Amino acid sequence: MTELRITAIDHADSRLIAVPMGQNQVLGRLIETGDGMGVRVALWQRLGDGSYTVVALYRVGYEDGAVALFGEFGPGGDGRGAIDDYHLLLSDDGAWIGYLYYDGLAPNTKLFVQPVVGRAAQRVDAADVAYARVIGFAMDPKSRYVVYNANQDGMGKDALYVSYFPDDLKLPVIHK
Amino acid sequence: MKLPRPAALLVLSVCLSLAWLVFAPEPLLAQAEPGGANGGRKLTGNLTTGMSGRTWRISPDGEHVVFTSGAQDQIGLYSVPVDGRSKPVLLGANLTEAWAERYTISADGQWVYYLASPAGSSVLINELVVAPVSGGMTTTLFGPAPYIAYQLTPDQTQIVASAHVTESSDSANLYVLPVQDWGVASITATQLVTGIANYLANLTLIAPDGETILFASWDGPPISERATLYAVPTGGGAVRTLTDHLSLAIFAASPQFSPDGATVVYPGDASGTCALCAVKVATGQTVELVPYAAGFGIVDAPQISPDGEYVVFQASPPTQSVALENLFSVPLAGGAINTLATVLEDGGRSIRFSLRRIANRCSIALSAIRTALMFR
Repeated sequence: MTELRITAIDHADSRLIAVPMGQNQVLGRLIETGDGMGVRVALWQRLGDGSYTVVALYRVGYEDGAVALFGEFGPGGDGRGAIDDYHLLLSDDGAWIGYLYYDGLAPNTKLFVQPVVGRAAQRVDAADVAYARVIGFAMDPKSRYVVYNANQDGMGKDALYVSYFPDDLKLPVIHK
Repeated sequence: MKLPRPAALLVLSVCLSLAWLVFAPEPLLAQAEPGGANGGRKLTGNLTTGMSGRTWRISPDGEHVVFTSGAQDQIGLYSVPVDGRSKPVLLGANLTEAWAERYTISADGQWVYYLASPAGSSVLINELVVAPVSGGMTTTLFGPAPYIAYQLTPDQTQIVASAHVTESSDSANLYVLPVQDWGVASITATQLVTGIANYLANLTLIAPDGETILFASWDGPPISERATLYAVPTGGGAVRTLTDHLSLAIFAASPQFSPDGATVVYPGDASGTCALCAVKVATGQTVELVPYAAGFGIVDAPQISPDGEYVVFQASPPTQSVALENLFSVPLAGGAINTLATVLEDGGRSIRFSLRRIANRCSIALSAIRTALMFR
């Protein structure tokens, strides 16, 4: 895991909270959610091939400016996480994260979900043949399932799928 | 040869089944099909996505997925229950590329509104149709007419629709329809405004309280970046001209209502005196939030804070010779311009920010400079 440094800077009449890139390895981008507690900053890591992956999500509190680790990614321990912050979603209740993961075999992208607290990610997509990929997804407003479009043959024929959040990931989750 | 009655019924049944398999639209062929080892379930068959791809949406109640499939002028609108209890159903046919994605699911998740072209008509002619999300009888609410556009009021009690007078005309009429128990009562559209010259459908805006409709027309020909902004009560009444200096510059955002619906903020055209202006809907009184004389040039992406007290905008400071974007705020009632953040990343105009009300403060989230700001 790349070392990260979080710095908070007070300005005269507004508070500026910066997440520096650190060793030129990590980029920060902001992801918003609707829980009203703050903003989430997704931290990107540069991979050996020059591409980036989202590896962690931090919360920056609106009220106190506190920065806290919100979730980490990387299902296989290979340093890869979400392919980008546009394909990294949080459920409306703030309890679940869903993201697309690139497994290194173009154009394969797989769909993972995980609770934001305390559990590892689990792959949930149905596109399990070679060269299959998940293209886009959305999360149930009631946090029960994820719907996604995927193609199984790499030839561009999409179908819609649904995967319910795995029962073994459903633990009591404290979230706001 | 005369078949016994049960045998005839059996033959008929087999024929109908074969015909269904051959002629049924693609998305109807799949139901609750297991998709793979990871627990996913297929909701639809292969979709025809067209050149621009097709979109799909989860209904607000989370019970259905609404999607389109098809290409060109033969796009179908479908829904399927997420729990797999039934196959996808066709909600509407004859959607065209131009309007296929402009469907709206009602907030209760029960109805789907969409624009379709009647069979045999020009693709420029469409009609507004509503269908139950689980399929069934559709109701044409409005049209056929050229270039129909529509939106629901925030409380979902009314539909504001517009249509051009003719296919070749830039003039349009504005209508309002009450939302009711569709399919039961007849639908009457009330014409609010007649013959709006050079109508700009994508700038029509309904106030948060649903009481007022904003609409705009561009000044021309020739085509200009200047437009006139009007307001009309949703319940009917006189049309008020709010400004004839509305800017249509590419980076300027469209007009916005304050949360209480009383004030409209708009980017000014250079022929006026303000780069960012506010106008009271009731009185027409204008406040110069950012005077042109202040030297900011084009004001980008103004947004009103959720408490209605501030407007936050991007602009290049007057002292800078290059287009480095800074973030500013100004009271909605007018007053001193406050610098919130300096030199946004790359000086680009792709900065995204949003405003929230947290407790008694307003916060800004900025997407490109990796910061969160809080003011007041």
